[in-house]
Amino acid sequence: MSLAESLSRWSPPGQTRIPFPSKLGAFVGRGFKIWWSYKLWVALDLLGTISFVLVYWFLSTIVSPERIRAAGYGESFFSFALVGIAYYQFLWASVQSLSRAIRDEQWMGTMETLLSGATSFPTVLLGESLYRFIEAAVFLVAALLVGAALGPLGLILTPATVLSALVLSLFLVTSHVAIGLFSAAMVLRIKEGDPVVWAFNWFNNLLSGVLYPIALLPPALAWVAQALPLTYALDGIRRVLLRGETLAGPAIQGDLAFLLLWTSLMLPLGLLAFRQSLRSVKRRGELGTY
Amino acid sequence: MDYALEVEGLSKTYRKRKGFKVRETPALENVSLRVRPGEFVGLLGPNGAGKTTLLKILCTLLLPDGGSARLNGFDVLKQSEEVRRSIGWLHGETGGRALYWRLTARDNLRFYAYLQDVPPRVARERIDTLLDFFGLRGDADRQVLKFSTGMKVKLMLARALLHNPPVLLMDEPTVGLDVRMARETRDLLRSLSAELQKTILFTSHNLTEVEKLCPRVAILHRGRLIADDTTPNLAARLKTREIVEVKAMDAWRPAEVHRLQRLPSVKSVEADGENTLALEVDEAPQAILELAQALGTMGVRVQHIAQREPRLEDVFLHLTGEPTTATKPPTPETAPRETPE
Ligand SMILES: Nc1ncnc2c1ncn2[C@@H]1O[C@H](COP(=O)(O)OP(=O)(O)OP(=O)(O)O)[C@@H](O)[C@H]1O
Ligand SMILES: [Mg+2]
Repeated sequence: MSLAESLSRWSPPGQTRIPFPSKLGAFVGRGFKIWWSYKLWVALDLLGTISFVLVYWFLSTIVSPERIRAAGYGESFFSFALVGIAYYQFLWASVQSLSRAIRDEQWMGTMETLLSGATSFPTVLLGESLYRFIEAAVFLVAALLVGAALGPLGLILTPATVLSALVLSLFLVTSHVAIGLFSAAMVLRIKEGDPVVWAFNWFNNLLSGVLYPIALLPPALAWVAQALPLTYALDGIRRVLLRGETLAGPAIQGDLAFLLLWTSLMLPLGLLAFRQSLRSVKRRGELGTY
Repeated sequence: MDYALEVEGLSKTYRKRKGFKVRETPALENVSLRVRPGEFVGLLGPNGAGKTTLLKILCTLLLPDGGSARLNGFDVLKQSEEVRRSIGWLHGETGGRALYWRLTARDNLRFYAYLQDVPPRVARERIDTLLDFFGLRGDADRQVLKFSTGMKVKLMLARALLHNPPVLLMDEPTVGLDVRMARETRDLLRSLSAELQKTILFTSHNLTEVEKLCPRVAILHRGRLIADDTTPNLAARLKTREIVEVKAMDAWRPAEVHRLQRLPSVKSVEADGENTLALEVDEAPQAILELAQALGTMGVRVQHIAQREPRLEDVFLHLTGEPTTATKPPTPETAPRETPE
């Protein structure tokens, strides 16, 4: 049978629809297959996770635990720093997921193909970032497990604390999606990594209490730290994992409220910026270039 | 729906900022084109004429400055998702870059099936059929990075057909294909148009291919549509003129071409293949006598001189007034040339 005959029996386009979650699943599957095809990356990613945990473990043997205790986050610097760093890595990977995905599509030359299908652009956006987000979450858990293997972390894991930690993690990410969208909008246009986001990242790292309690910061900087969502997310997650507080507690609710507020203010702006950038690139005919 | 493709006054200028200046490259100027369902139209034009620009606007990958375009009844600006569902697009120029090289051929098609809303169960059967047709069944589970250029183009063709779209926008689909596969692809496109009433817009620099394949031809030149007619009609435009072909042993020098141009019976001279000139003349027999004499006095060693039927290529060269990529202009004066003994 000729191909034309086969085609004559195929249904025309638009008669079937693939459900939204399956489409997202296709992006995740594709991302995993590409990652898996770089055997060296797989090895390096695993090695990287183990080595950064080791570094903070050695650090913890040097730093005294008194100041951690004074700040109200349990007994151990290692536990404090590990939660901070693991979450910070997780956040950074999530924030960058979209811009990195776009950069990859540009390099591979698949940007135009991707947008020439019948899938809407918000679905493509979500699909693009979802794989890396899952990857980041897996490494977060892996980092905590490696840490636990090195000595007692003293994490308090009950159903209520795990649920609380998950909710806080989710809103930690949504509060930073806008930053990711700004970055992706820039990358779409200038075809390079975005320096503004790298700067924000360092700033965030230094001020949000990733490695030390913000109580140690000079007052002016501590004040700035109060405006950053990561500060609230880390405060909440540490209270939950290191002290056993839950969503029922007022401190956690305060943190969550701030994250929600930040999300609802910034997310629309991020989406707008990305949409503008896409239009501009489509106008200039530079969608497929790198 | 009367037209599968309805383009009205489409304009596009690329703007790039360079320091304080904005560089403008006009690519399409007021282009209008109507194509009925099932028509097979060849879109021709020299490099940079605006063919890819037009096709990308129709795929919604590029926003026009002015004018409108409807595809399969959907507006490219307002109903872009429906438009993309209705088209199979292929950009042969990319040489296969538009695929995920780290994935296998089958995984590439599977992922695209998701993007085009073809459910996995349906997609599986279609993918097998397509891979069979394009002779890729044996390579289905190899990574695309190990494919040759032609294999990648075949895979892109398969991808363009996967969702069975009514309109095919084929931007140089036969680039990089070997002789047999190029021919099979032409046969496929012909039967898709004839038997399944697919609407096809096809660009190629191979005019013989277009002449054989497309009953209708549109020619873009510097962003303007300068011709749009049936292929026989276009060829007949030159029927009032006759073509004499002169092939020399050596490359032509500009001075020689100039002298031929000044002969009273010669209307125009175009390069036409290796050491060959195509001359438009009023009456071939008389012109051949005149030419033979002139060539003799110039000392040009002639290999072959004869009248021939006007071809699409002659019309193309006549209308666009410049040689195609396939034919090089005569060699410059600096090129060494033996003098006849
Ligand atoms: N992204 C872009 N930015 C600026 N100018 C562009 C861009 N893409 C194309 N152009 C210009 O627009 C004009 C038309 O280009 P286009 O690619 O549509 O030509 P084409 O007919 O497809 O040519 P070819 O036969 O070489 O493929 C050219 O002058 C080209 O330089
Ligand atoms: Mg082109």
